[in-house]
Amino acid sequence: MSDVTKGAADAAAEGSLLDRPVDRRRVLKGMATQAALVAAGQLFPGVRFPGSASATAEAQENLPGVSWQKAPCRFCGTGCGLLVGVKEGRAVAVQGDPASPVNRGLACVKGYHSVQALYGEDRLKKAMVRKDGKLVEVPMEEALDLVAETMKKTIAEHGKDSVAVYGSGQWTIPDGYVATKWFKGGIGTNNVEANARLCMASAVTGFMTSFGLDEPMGCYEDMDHADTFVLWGNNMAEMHPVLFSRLLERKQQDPKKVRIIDVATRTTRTSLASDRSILFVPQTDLALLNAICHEIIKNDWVDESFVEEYVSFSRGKTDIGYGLEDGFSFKDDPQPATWEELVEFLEDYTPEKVAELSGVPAEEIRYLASLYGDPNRKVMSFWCMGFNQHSRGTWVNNLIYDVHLLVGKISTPGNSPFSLTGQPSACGTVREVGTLTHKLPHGVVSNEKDREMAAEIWGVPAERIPAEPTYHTVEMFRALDRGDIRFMWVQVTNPMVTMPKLARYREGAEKEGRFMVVSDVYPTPTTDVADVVLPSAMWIEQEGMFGNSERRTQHFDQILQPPGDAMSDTWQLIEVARRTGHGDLVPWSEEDHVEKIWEEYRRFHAGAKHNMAPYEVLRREPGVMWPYVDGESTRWRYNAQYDPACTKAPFDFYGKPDHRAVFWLRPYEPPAEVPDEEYPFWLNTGRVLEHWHTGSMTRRVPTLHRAMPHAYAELNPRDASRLGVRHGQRVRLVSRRGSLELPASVGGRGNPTPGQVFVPFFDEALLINLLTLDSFCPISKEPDYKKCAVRVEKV
Amino acid sequence: MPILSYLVHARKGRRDALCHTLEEIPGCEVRPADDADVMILVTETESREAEKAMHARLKDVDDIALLALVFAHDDPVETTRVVPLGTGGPRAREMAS
Repeated sequence: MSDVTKGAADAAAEGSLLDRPVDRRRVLKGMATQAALVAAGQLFPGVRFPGSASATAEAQENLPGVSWQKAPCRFCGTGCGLLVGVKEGRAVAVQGDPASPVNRGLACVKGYHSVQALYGEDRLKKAMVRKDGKLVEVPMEEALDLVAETMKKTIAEHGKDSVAVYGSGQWTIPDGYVATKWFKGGIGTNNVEANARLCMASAVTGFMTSFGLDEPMGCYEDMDHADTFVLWGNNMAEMHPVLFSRLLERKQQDPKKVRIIDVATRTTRTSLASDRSILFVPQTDLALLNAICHEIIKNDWVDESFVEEYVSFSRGKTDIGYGLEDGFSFKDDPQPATWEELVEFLEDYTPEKVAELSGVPAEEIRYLASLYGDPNRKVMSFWCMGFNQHSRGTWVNNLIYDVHLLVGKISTPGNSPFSLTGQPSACGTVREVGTLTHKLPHGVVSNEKDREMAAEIWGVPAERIPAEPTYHTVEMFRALDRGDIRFMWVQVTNPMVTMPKLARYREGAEKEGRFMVVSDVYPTPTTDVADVVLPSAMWIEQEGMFGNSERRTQHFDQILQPPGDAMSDTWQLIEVARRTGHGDLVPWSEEDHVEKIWEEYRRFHAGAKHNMAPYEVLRREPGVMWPYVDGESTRWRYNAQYDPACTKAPFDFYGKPDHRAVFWLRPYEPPAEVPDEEYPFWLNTGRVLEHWHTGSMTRRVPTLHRAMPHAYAELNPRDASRLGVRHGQRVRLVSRRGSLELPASVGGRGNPTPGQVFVPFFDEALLINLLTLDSFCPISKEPDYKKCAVRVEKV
Repeated sequence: MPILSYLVHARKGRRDALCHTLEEIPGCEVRPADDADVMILVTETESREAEKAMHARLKDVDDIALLALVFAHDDPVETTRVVPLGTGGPRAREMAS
């Protein structure tokens, strides 16, 4: 063992890593070496360093006395496998799991520091109840009793639709399942939502309208087969860094052939690492994708036999609104379309016309189209919030599928339109369990057969499950503000930072007659408005499962004891459900409830289209991709060579009754608010590499906090010069909803196009959502956090 | 106290020479692989300025074909609690007090 790695081992033996200044240097050098050993093992399989069996094995040997257990990372939707090192009941180290096919031993900066997020000194350990205006610590039992009594009283006085639960894609699968079963099957209200509505609802409606079934047809393995990667509004280098490293590795393998193209509204680290950066005016991605279709048809690059056999054409309503008013409703009216109508429709989207609208030169548009059209290229398209947080989010998701369908580049290794997700279980919990107002674990509440299936599995009368959805997320918080909802239980999310047009919803939550219960691991602006705060177990302090972006379900054991009175969100829900008289729905013991919940839940997905792996398989494997049939994960859906649900070959888009995928004719329409004389800048919001969402956990990790201590307003140097603003000087951003002062970033890690300002949303002290607009895609109901109008003033 | 680790690819046939060159630089620790032209380099410097100088020096080493940063840590100036509680609203300030 080298001196360097011995330092890490010695420090671990003494108790905890990174806590003691005297050991700090040795420990950090040990971690640095470990990270390099693991990276070497990943890049050069079998590489050996002196005195070790292999790089990855040595990384573990460097910390004797530390036991290692697998768990998926709890940050982001990539689903990296981690190995958590535990000594004397405390997590002391972490490394990427070499056995995980997702990350192959790598981790990003959040993953490497993930265990430190468990140990912030202000971790919530006791329940608190607001008394005389102040939150005071109380025994957990007293808090749970109060939650249950208030729920019962609220339902008695205001009806069952006056209580709601709001979770997230960080809910484990058991968390979400119990919430849905209890609220929909027990209480009898569809007031179940999750913050994944704010980040991937448009991906869901895109999948559902184009294919009839949710989630990607391909998997991460596509990256090993593709040679062309087009990233649409997707800063992968910061938001999905491990996946981006796989693209770079692919590029290194075949630099002459592989192309990475970044198509975005600002220059980022992703742009700089790409072969080409294409910048467009916000919202004009709708037009760009149509222009690509125009060019594909014009140049005869259409895969005619594929289109003839597997594609139908459809068009929906246009001029569909923005959801700005309370009670907004929209229902699309799909009508069949013909090839001739498509060709005519696309005449409005010649490269020259779209160049004028988008700012992208016509030659660049033709280049993009040629990449998709080249029969000798295998193309992956990636997107995430840029497409999803979009006032026409469903449309733009439809359009990227249109491009792939037109050239037949779909559902085969390396040809893959791939929607990335932001949260560790946005797919596994919110989309698959169905923790949204309109959803059930299988199907939707409006479908009688789906309600009957749920009622049969849950052992409740079918009529108890209401057939009508109630409130999607924005409307749920509007209902709280209006007083239609009186009780809301928020778990594992921070809406008082993340809701758009935040002031309205924060005031609504603080109104008299509202009762807010918040389950979390640290104090946040959402616990600020709580009447009851429940301390939650975090991540590996409980057993659970997450489902990642590639349909991979990953199990993790309880590795640590939660601190103080902290309790898993699942068990909190069970405790209160028993107190409200629904104990028969949650009959499980603390010892085996996760296994029992999983085995009950997977009955909903039985069958070749979505079968989930048994509990014992999940425990054994580093994740299993559904459909899991005859002991095998399905890597490419709708392809008869890989997907046992197909009834015809070579493809079968069985999600639709005619077994065809739908090509949607979707036009360009502007967003709800565009820059004008008074508010001349676009405001774009988003994330940063170092922080997970609102920073409530990662800002407790000293290294991450210091690396990115506060939010900033990213300006184009030309705009900054015109305004007389230098890097670090304070600027005031003003929108029609509010204003905010924060330091300018000029020439930093990102560079927006002129006339645009970018602000990350992780900083609870600089709440950019006070300025954003609560417009949303009328189909998905997902807000557009990427576009509203502001002015920038030098302070 | 910046501490960084790199994977270093040597130019063909120059692995041993590169290893020797890097070992001569104060603050560098080198571990060459047994069976590949790759080595692990861990650097430790006293300040950000010293780290910049180190990086500049490494970039000038001819035998390096590729220098890939894997890990970086820059020790903080202060070590007290880093997250001010309750900056998002009045009730949290009350909780923190």
